Formats: sequence, C-alpha cells, structure tokens
Amino acid sequence: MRKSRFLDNRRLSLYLHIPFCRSKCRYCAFFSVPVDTPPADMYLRAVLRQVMAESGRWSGRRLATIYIGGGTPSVMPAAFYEAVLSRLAALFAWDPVIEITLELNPADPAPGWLAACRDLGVNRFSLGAQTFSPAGLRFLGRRHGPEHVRRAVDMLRTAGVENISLDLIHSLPGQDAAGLHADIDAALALDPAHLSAYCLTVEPGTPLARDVAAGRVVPPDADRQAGDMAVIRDRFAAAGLPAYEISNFARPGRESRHNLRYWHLEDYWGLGPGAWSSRREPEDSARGWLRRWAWTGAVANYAAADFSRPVEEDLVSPRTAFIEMVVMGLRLTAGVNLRRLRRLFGDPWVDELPDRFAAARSAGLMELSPTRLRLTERGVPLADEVSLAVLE
Amino acid sequence: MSTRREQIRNFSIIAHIDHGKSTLADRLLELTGALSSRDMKEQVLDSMDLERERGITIKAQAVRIVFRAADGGDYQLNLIDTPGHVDFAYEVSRSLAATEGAVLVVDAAQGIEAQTLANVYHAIDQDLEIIPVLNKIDLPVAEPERVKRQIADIIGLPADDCLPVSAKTGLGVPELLQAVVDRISPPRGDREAPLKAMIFDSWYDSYQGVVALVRVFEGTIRTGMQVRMMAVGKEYEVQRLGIKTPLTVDVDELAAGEVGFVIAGVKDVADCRVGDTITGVKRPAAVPCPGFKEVKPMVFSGLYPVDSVDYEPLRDALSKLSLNDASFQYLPETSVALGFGFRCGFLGLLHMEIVQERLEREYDLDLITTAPTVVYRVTLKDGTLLEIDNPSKLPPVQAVESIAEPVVRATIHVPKEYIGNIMKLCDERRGIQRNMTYLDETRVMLEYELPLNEIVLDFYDQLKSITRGYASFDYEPAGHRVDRLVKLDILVNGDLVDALSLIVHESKSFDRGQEMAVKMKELIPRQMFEVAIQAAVGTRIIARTTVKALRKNVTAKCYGGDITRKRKLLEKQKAGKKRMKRIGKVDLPQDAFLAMLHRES
Repeated sequence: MRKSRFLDNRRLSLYLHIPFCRSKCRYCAFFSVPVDTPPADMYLRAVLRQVMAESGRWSGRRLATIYIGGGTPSVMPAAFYEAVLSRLAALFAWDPVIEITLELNPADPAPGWLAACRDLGVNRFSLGAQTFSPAGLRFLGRRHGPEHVRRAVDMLRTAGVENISLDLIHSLPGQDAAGLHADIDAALALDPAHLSAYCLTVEPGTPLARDVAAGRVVPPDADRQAGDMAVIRDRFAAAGLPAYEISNFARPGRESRHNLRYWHLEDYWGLGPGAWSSRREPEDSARGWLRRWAWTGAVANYAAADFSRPVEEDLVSPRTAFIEMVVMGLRLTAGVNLRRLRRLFGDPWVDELPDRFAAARSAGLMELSPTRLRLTERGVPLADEVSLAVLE
Repeated sequence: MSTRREQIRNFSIIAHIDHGKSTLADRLLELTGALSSRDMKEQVLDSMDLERERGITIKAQAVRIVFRAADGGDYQLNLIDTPGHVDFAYEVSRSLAATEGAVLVVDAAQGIEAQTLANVYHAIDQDLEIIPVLNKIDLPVAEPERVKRQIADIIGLPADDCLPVSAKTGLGVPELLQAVVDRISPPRGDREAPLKAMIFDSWYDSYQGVVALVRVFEGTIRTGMQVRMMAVGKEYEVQRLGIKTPLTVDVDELAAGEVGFVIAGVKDVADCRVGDTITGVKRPAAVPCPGFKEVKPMVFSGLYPVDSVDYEPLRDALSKLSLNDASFQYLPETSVALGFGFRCGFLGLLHMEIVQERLEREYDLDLITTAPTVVYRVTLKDGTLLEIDNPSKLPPVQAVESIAEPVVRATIHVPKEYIGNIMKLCDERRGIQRNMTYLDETRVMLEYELPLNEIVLDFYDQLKSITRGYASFDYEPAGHRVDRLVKLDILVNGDLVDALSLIVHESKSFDRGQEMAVKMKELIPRQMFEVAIQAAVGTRIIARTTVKALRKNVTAKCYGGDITRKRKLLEKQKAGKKRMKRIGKVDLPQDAFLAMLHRES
C-alpha cells in the first residue's frame, strides 16, 4: 500500500446519484429529469460501466459507507439497487459495519420494496419530510402530505429499520414561531434517530428565485433565520438530538458516518451524472494534494459516456486542502481537530490560526483550545463569515 | 515670410461655453483658406478629447491666417484661442495680454453670461479693442435687439458696433474679418530692440520637450539664439521656431508683433511658466513684460489608488501630467483609511475633475478622491502660522487660536424670478451679498462674497438645479476671512477615519455630522460585531449611529459535491473583503468612501 499521511486510505465512501424525479420542487436547484428518461435499465448499464471504468483506482479499498441520493432514489425499482450493490460487492470488500443510506420521498415506499432494499443491506433511510404544514408543503411544491411521512416511518419500523433520518426545511415564508414549533413537535413525535434541518435557501435559477425576484414571495430576513436556527438547535438538543453539524442533529452514535467522511475530506467515489469523486493523491503527484472530478451532469450524455475524461476537475493544493479542512471543521460541533491538521500539514499553518481568527474570538464567536477550534452557539450562524479569515 | 508690423492683427475670441467660439474659429480658418472644409476636423482648435467632449478649451492655441482685406492688402491675423473656464483665469489673462483686441461672441438667443463678462472685464482692463458679435442669428429664437441692448448696457459698447453672424452658416464672417483689420490696432514694438517675448502657454511634448507659445513684444527671436527665462532665470538655446496655420510651419525668426511657438530644449514646464518673459542672453531687456505671477492651487484633494498595486502607476501618471501642467501639484501622503496616495493641488474644481478624468481614462487607474478642500490659514496659540490643505492635519483645537478660510467674490447672472432661490442658497452657504444689478428688465447680476469651501463641493450643481440651468456663475479670489471653523471627524468603533475628516463652519457641524453618520451607517455592511459610527468635533461626539452585528452568514447544505463550490464562493466573498479598507477591525467598502465623498443634495 502506498505511503500516505492521510488518515484513511484503506476504506472508501461511495455516493450513488439517482437523477430522476416525479416532479420538480420549487426550491430545488439540482439537475433532475423525469422518471424513465432514459429508462432505468439504460441508466443501470451506464452506472455499471462507470463502476468498471473506475474501480481500478480504488482497488484494495473496503467500502465503509454508501449513500444513495438524488433526485429521488425511491422512484427506482429495488432490482436496480440489487444490480449495483451486487456488482460493488463483487469488486470490493464490505466493511463489517457498513452504513448504507437511501433517500426516500415519503409518498413512494411500499412495504415490499422497503423490505427488498433492507435485504440488500440498506440500513439507514432518510425521509424528505421538509415540513408538516400542508400549506408549507404546497409552497415547496412537494408531492406528498404530512400523513405520508408518518406512514413511511411506520412502514420502516415494521420492516425493522430504526436508523431513520428526517429532512426539514425551516424559515419558510409565512412560517411563524408557532408554525416552527409545530414542525419541531411533529418531527420529534416520530422519534427519528437523526434530523437534518435546512434553512430555506433561495438558489439562483429556481422557480422560487424568480418568485422572490418578482416580489411574489418574501422569505424571512437573515435575523429571523438566525433566530429559527437557534430555536431548532435548542429544541432538538433538549430532545436528545444535539447538533453535530450546522444543519444536522443526531442521537449520540447515530450521526451520518457518510457525511462525516465528506466533512473530514476523506476519499469518496461518486457514481452518476455530475457526482463528484474526491481522492487523496500520492505525495509526489502532479495532480495536487487532493483531486476531485465529476463526469457529465447531463443524464443523456452520461448514459453514453466512455468515462475517459471528466468534465470537471479540481486539483486541490495542500494549502487549499488545509483551508477546506478548517472551513468544513468549523461547521462541526466538534470543531476543527488541530492535532489532525498538524499531522497532515505540519505546525506553521496551524500555529497562525489563533491570530487569523482573533476578530471572531474577541467577538465571542469562536473558542480555541490547544487541540480544537470551534464555533460558539453565537458563531454557528456566522460560520461562513468567520471562515473567511482562513482564506488567503 | 516676414510681414510688416502694420499688417499684423493679434486677437482672441471671448465666448461662453456653447456660444459658438470653436465653430466660429473653424469658419475663420475655412474662409481664409487655411483649411478646406473637406479636410477639416470638427473644431480644429480643441485638440484634446476631453476638450471636445466638454466643449471647453483647456490649453491655448495660436493660429496664423492670412486675410486679403478690402484695401487689397494681405493681413496676418493671429487668432489666439483662450482657455474657457474660471479655473484658468490667469492663463486667460496672459492670452489676452498677447493680443490687441478680442472678438466677443454672444449667443443672440441667450445673451451675456457671467463667465463671458469676467473675461470681457479682463480684456477691458488691458485696454483691448472689443468687437461684439451676435452669433446664431439664424436661429428663430434669436433676439438680437435685446442682446444688443444688453451689451450696450452692461459693457458700454455701442449697440451699432455689434456684428450679426452665423458661425454655422458663415453669414457675416467676412465682415467680421474686415472689422478685425479695421478696428483692432496693429501691434507696436521695435524689431531691433532687445528681445521681450511673453509666454502665454506651454506644454510638454515627449519628442521635443517643452513647447512655448509666445507673443513677441520687442525685438526678434531667432533659431540658434541664446535666451533666458527672466522669472525662472534659466538659459537655453532656441532650437526651433514656428507657427500654426493650423499646420505646423517652421520659421527662422519671430519679430516684434508676431505670435508663434518656441522650442529651446526645456525639459520641465515649470521652467517655462505662463507669463514669463523670454529675453536674449547677449542683449537682455531691462524689465520683463508685466503681469507675471506664480499660480497657486486653490483646491486640494487626496488621490488614492483603489488597488494598492496601482500606487506606482499613479505616481508615474501624476509625474507625466505635471510635466504638462505647471499649476498642478502633487505630494505623497498616507492615510490610515486609504493607504498610500497623493495630496494634489488644483486651480479649481474643473481642473481637479479634468486631472481625475485623465488619470482614469488615459492611464486606466481606479481612484478614490477625498473631499476637495481649500487651504486654511491657521494661527496657533503660540503665534505659529500654518497653511492646512488636509483637514486631518489640523492641530488639536486647544492649540488653535484662529482659522481663516479663503473667500471668493462670486458673480451670478440669473433671470429675476430666481433671485429668491439664489439668495437662499448663498445665505445657506454663508455668503454676504455685495451687490445686485439689473442687467436688463429680465436678468439680474448678483455679487456675493462666499467662502471657497462652500462652493467647491456642489455649489454649481445646486445653482443650476434651483435655477433650472439658467444661472451662470463666475468667481475670483478675494482674500481670507477668519470664522468659527471646526474639524469634523468620523469615528468607526472609536477609530478615526482620517480620509473623511472635514473642516466645516461650527454652525453646520451638527447637521453635517448627523448626515454623515446616518449615511455611513447605510454604507457599512454588517460585520461580526456591532459597529458604532460617531461624528465628533474635537472630543465632543455630536452624532452617533450603529450598524447592528451580522447574525447570519452560513451555507445550509454542504456535502461531497458542494465542497469545491463552497470554497469558490468563500474565495469570492474573501476577494470582496480584500478590496475593502480596514479601519481598526472594521471593513469599509470602497463604495462607502466614494459615496461619502459625493455628497448629494
């Protein structure tokens, strides 16, 4: 095995992208296409071709986590996942405690399909609940109602799945304090192991962005959003699900291991159109300290791709990787692990961090210990602002 | 090609902007065959782009044309085009001094403007013959009779002497040329006397060095001759002499009465000053031509590069500009807020704008300019006298005995219905009315003594807006006046923003401070902490506003595919922050300075 000072060059995370949706949500900026365009079997062949084309790069690795996201993974037949996962199992060793997550639209799953996925090894399900307010769901353009979320959770529990995560979106236009608390109550009533709560973000190019630009929709201002974030953090922590990242909450031990590996800049392999891969390159490589690449994001082109040349590539220098680790680390409740940084990049860069963050520290937004750099509760909603100090 | 002195006429054209000076000059050239209309560029005399765009003349020009008069003789007419703005009043006076007469061009629809009148008075003071011309008589709105009466009433020129002209169509232009020959006297002077040639403009040419426009009053200047600049005291050898027709023609000599250019290996315009006299080294004149004075900048401001890497290019550009402009001064200075830059002195606001525009346009520099300020005469308690051209340099209030500010005598011409507005404006600007004269039944001339400080910022714009563009305005320096002046500072979280300090009248300090604090609040982006903005006079805080702390700036979602994208977004935000200027811990956007310094009404 090649010599590397990176933490984990024995294991690998894998992301599988499912670019199909039954309908477009108003706020979503992700590229997606209608179901069956191209047909699932054609898409499957393309994914398997990518697996075969790139598997040599990752030979010897054990798969530690798999995340199937979208798009809408729950629109694909279980046979699709069986084909992909069995191919991966033939090529790679499976970590004994592998985490396999699949995203669900609450309206989609049927008991037989869920059981099939569970039998394939999927052991974590993430439900896109978003809000429990019917008006809120209509605003977002979701094709399910609040009752679908409860039904899907029941179904998962019946199938013996306990590692359930719910996605929520907060600070919706028209959502008052009572509405926010009602969503929190409804989510906690389902006793999830994990929650993600995202502040509504107006992404350029979405129907929502057009409505905001035209003045038809007025999202809450940043002060309100910060207030909502604080309420959510307090309530979830009180319910036993403390925040472990800006928008993520979990019962201890139920944090998303897949996402934590992203945030620690561990290697990952992305399958599907537009899915990024990231890989620590050998010390002497001309490809940078880290190399990131992605294949074409257009589904039709992806289906025909020969996987010889990625459409996007990002060669990350050591300094940039250092910056990214600080930026990503500050988003974590655990903060930036300075010992790990010293091991990876040496002392000088780490030693100058206290000075770089002097303003944030004196403003009470950051705490510094000999081994950790972390944001305070007041610093959390200002993570990006604070992070700027580490950039050149 | 020497012409007998009796057949030479030297004259200039006095006109208000837009009254048709350049068009008339073109017509004169065309009519005398100096240029055919085919190969004529529009408005030949205004050669700088800026001059053309603004319709004003910045540098003087001299063109020799030959006119066959009614008596059959060929006359040498030297047309000296003068700068057209109050900032260049001294240059105008020297250009006029080079002539024996002036053609006064008045728009037959608009009548006399304050600016024109100021130059007419210069001309009258120098005993020049004035030929009034009513231009644009072909326009349906022309009111020649009214304007004639105005000329008679105000200037005292007989109404019958006015020549009707249309510079556009050429109507009346031959008659005008004949009038120049008939009415303007030929130059006096002895071509054998010791040399006395007055410089009425000079500029730097990168191939030939300094080019001086001269009028020879006595004696003869020849190529190869050793000459001395009488005020500066330096000596040179004449390398080249010539005239413009407007094409350049070299000549061997320029004799008493003639006008032309001199090139003598001078490297710096500061050694070839407008108003100085060139004389011969071997046979020097006893006394120079009268009227030379050292021109001093009236208005100062700091020029700073937006990007600090432009500091060296800015210095090079300033040095090049000053080669060509002896009245423009610059000295390095530093500001806590803006970094390294230069304190620059200008003749007036227009001069300042021209220099700024040339720096931005010809040298492609992005600049921050501090608020223009005048030069205060400060008397300290210990008796020391100081001249302060930068408000942040004013000593602490306890040490100051008194502050005197420069005042000007302003002349405003305006239709009578706007008198009330003007009086209100001048009153607000601490003006003292000195005179009010009815020019005719509709127009009034108001004379005010005004602090220069009150007019450098936006007085002219205000004047135009409250009179719907009908007012015209001129001013001349009128000494210094002691008043209750204070330094107004802006503090951001307790740190002084030196570039924003102003000297203002005590009575205005509160309003101005309040206004600046409020405006500053709108311009400063929210930061990680609360930012207090204070306006202070000495140690006394007179206004305070607060920029609340930023509460949220965080990306909601950041997973595998987003890391590169997020880093790029942060890099962009960081680049934006880097362009900001840092005061203490607070980042101030460039826009904040620009907006603070451009005070709107």
